[in-house]
Amino acid sequence: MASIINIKDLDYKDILHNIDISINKNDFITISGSNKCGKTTLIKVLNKEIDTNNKIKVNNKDIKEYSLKEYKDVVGSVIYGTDNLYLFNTVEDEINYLLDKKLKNRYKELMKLFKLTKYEKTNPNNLDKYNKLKLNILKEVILKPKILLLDDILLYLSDKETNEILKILKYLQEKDKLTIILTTGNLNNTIDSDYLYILSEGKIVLEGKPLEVLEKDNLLNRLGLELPFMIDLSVKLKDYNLVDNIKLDMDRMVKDLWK
Amino acid sequence: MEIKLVDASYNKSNYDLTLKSNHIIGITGKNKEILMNILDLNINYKGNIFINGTKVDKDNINKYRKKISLIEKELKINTTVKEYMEYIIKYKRLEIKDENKKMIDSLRIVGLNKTYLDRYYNTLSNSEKKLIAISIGLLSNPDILIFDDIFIGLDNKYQKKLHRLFTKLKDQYNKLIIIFSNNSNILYKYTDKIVFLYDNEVLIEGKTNSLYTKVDYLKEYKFDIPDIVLFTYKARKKGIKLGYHKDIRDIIKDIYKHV
Repeated sequence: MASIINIKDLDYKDILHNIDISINKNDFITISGSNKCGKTTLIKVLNKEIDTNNKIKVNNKDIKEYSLKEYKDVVGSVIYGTDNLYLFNTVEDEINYLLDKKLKNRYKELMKLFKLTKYEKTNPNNLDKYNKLKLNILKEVILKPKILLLDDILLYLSDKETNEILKILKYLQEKDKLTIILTTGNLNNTIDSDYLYILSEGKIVLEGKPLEVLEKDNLLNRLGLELPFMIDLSVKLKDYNLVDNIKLDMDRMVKDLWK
Repeated sequence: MEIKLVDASYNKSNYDLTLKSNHIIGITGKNKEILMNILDLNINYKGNIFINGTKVDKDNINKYRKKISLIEKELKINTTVKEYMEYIIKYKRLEIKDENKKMIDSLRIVGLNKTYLDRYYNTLSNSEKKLIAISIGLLSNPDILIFDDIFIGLDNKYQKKLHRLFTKLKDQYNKLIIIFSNNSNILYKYTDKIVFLYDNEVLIEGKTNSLYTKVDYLKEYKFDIPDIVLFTYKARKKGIKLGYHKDIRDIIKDIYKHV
């Protein structure tokens, strides 16, 4: 499959070491790890906020050859903790200044998808955090970048909000053929991604399909990561030969254990 | 340490509640921010608040404000840690003999060394930011520490470290530790007592272990149930006599006995 991001042997200060990453076009990638593992720095490199000496290819071009403006057309990003700076007095204006008239339909479609339609006339500064986050993502994807970087955006969301965001992202992945890279400290949020990287002390220590990676409970626990409850339970019951595969559904598990 | 709210209200919210220092207390529910700000004595509430039996009034409120620290999720700081600490000492008019020593001590309590004084807050990792926020909260030597979602975004190692710190603060220094969060897994794991808020008042309060196992009751009010509790609940519904546990290894042993 065609790769859209290619990183070879990336080193950065004392933070990142020997990072090899090849990301397939249109994949939903998650990157996780304990605190201070380097995941935010890696996103900063991919967001062209940090220059390195390494060759990093993004959309078939060396990252250094892009101007910042060109790069923004290809790569959108929402970084947790960045101050929200809104220029207009309504959500509608805040988004529309990015657009040609031709994109009215796109605007309507996304506002509906993000459930922001009813806030059209609201001042973006008056939105709550969750809706601000949705607005920020919407602004990044409306002009159809190829790649979307999301750093720790799910941090303070409730389960319900998290699921809603993940659902929107999945839809955009499918509909816009978007490639998504999401960092999260919570392994629950990685289960539905296409590929998962685990970082520790700036190195990739595990990678693969999420369910295969998440089975490595001992290593993940050692890194200080908490396994999703149903995976943790499945893996440990497997050790006792009580189940033979991972079960994510709690009712299913109860049913299978006590037939 | 004891803080007692008698008919303390703000807008539509109204609280009667007594919190004592020998437990780590969790508070959860919608609109918890209002109660958080009432406890922090920083909004104009109606009704009465008593601290160790003394009524808080116009004349003593500033004295009591110094005794209370609210540690927020995130701080908006673009200075070094030291500069911010100096600002807080001035702004809160804290009377500290040796400021430098106090700053270093506050860092040491959360496990950070004095080199952090010269670090720019913005350049720190999320977990370091949390620890810094706590050490800033400790500068005034408060008797009541209120934390907003403190465990979220910290890996297991940091969470356990914080839990040990809180246990020490309440046992050895008699501090009142209050944790606001809507994450049921974290509250179940790290608090001894819990207060559920519903419809702008206290719904029920009591021991965390016993209240979280009232699953039907909590579901009725749409509270999240900790994963490990929910699993046990589902098994018990099938007639399996599993006990309620906090540690996944204990539940595995229990399942093993029952299949």
